[in-house]
Amino acid sequence: MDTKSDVKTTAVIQRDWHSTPEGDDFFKKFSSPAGRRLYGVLERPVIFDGIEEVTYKVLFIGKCGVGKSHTISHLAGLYCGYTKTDTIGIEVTDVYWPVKIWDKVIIFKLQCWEAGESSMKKYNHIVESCQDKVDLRVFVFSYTDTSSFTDLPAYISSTSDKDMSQVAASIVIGTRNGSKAVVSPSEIKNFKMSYGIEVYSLPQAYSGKMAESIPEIHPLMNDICEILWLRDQHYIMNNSVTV
Amino acid sequence: MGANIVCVTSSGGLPIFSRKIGNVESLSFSTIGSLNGVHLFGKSKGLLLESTETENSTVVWKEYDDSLILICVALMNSKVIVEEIIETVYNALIVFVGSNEIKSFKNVERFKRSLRPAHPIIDCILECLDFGDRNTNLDLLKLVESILCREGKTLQIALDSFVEVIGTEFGCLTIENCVAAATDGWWSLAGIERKILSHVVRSSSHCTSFDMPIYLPLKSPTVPLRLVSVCLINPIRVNILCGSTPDLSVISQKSFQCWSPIVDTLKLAVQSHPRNIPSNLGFHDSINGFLLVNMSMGKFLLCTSLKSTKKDSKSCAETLKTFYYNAARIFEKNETLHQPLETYWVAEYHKLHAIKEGDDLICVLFHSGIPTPCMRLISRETLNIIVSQGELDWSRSSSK
Repeated sequence: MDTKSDVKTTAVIQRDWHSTPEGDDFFKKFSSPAGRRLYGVLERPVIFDGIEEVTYKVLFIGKCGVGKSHTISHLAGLYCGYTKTDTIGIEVTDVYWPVKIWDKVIIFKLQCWEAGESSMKKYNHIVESCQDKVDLRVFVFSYTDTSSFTDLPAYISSTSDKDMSQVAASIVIGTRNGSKAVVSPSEIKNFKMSYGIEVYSLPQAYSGKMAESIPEIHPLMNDICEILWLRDQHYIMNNSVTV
Repeated sequence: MGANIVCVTSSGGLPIFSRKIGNVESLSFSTIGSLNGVHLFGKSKGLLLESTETENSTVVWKEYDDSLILICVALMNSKVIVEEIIETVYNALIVFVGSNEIKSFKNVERFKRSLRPAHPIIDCILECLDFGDRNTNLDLLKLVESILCREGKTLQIALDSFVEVIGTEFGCLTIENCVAAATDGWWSLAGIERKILSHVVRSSSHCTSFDMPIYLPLKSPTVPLRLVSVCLINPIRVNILCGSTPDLSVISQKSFQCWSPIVDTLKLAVQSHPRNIPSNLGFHDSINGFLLVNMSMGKFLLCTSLKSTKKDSKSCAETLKTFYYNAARIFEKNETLHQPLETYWVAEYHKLHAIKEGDDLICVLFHSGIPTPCMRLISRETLNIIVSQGELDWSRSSSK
């Protein structure tokens, strides 16, 4: 249940790889100070040619207006200076992230899915499409909106997996953590205790043009990749036992 | 220079949204109230207030379905253009909520919220106004921008087989939001529908793929369809309209399967942008740029980077836009008995000439050194170079 403690003890991903000359070189080629670019389904960063790639479906869930789209743009290193309205239907953004696992560089391709709350309520096919074969659920709340935090248990219970052999992993991301935060650290601690889900915090949304902030999202992206990697390892081990 | 557009309810004059473009103040609540009041006053006396003009701006009112009133106040734009803006905005509202909701919404606050996603599209529509400055994107009302590339035929074949695999008739392939290929079904949509869909795709192009429920104002105003768009290689997207199946992940997978064999062709096609025509097509030296419009298909092609820098190219595009709106659009009307076929402007730094041949209208921007009588010949020749290239297929569906 406690994925995070698993992660900490196992630590398969080299956390400081990005600051080594090899990792630094990778990230420099992969992103510029102005941000990263969007890749279509037929392409991927050229520097990743010949490197093993693993793909996962990550679903972002949370109340309307908490910043799901913004968080995804932030993780993808894309420009997000415009005022985004409620997402209509489904949006999918592919995020590429290189990590070093033991002595091997692996590219994680995270297909980040999100759907507008009003469309989810209105159209069944949108819910089904989003919930199908999810690897990781990211529950998003805003530190400046208490109800978005208190609604989390309802979101968590409404997204249970039908196929128990492939249960999706979960994490929580709190956005707009700053001076205006109304969700207290003790509430977060209680939540972690009772649900066993790790909570990550992102700072106040940038109001102007978003510059690339790789160092800031490094720990979060590495943790996401590690959770997904370990989930796969567990799955392989469990399956080989049954075989 | 700028414009404001507001929407209020017919029954109580409650504001639904207010958007603006350019360097103008937003309309205050009291101004919106007065504008609505004067329209309401006329209505109570059995009069229909359509429009009015001040020294430099035009105000147009239009009521739809006894439910909403749209009011647009625009500087430097004629009544006809402002009316078209209002019509396009109204149709964009239908795209997001459907016509039933517009006719009979119960809760104003909820209705306002449901229209919020239309705001970026309304902003795109306002960019089609011409203020004679360089602050707006070059976009034309009701016409979709297209691009011609040598690979067009291959892309068309691939697109036709892709939509067949998905099980739909409606598909188009865009490069930097310019149509490079589209199915017959896509061209059979009304021009205004195609234009609004192109605005929708443009404003959502920050993600790899999206799946959006939309209504078509003329073809399907009450039953929603899905607009699905997948980025193949940035900035090429394939966009389709379909029913509730197949699922988005299936469409993404199929996109990969159908398009990966011609990924090199796609990469070559991208090179046609921003010139928008193949690089081996040469034109007369006196030409700085041109705007080609096919009126029956509702598409345009803008080529402004023949030899100019990026900055010049923008100013060239703005000049062509102003010329098109103020002089050349008259060719599109079929009201008069005598049809004008040519028009021209002579300015200090450049000359402009427009000529209509069949469904095609070309506006050419020349440098000022060209003798005025020669413009006709060169414009005709330029049009011919493009239309005669069978492989570019400029007038594809209009000939059908």
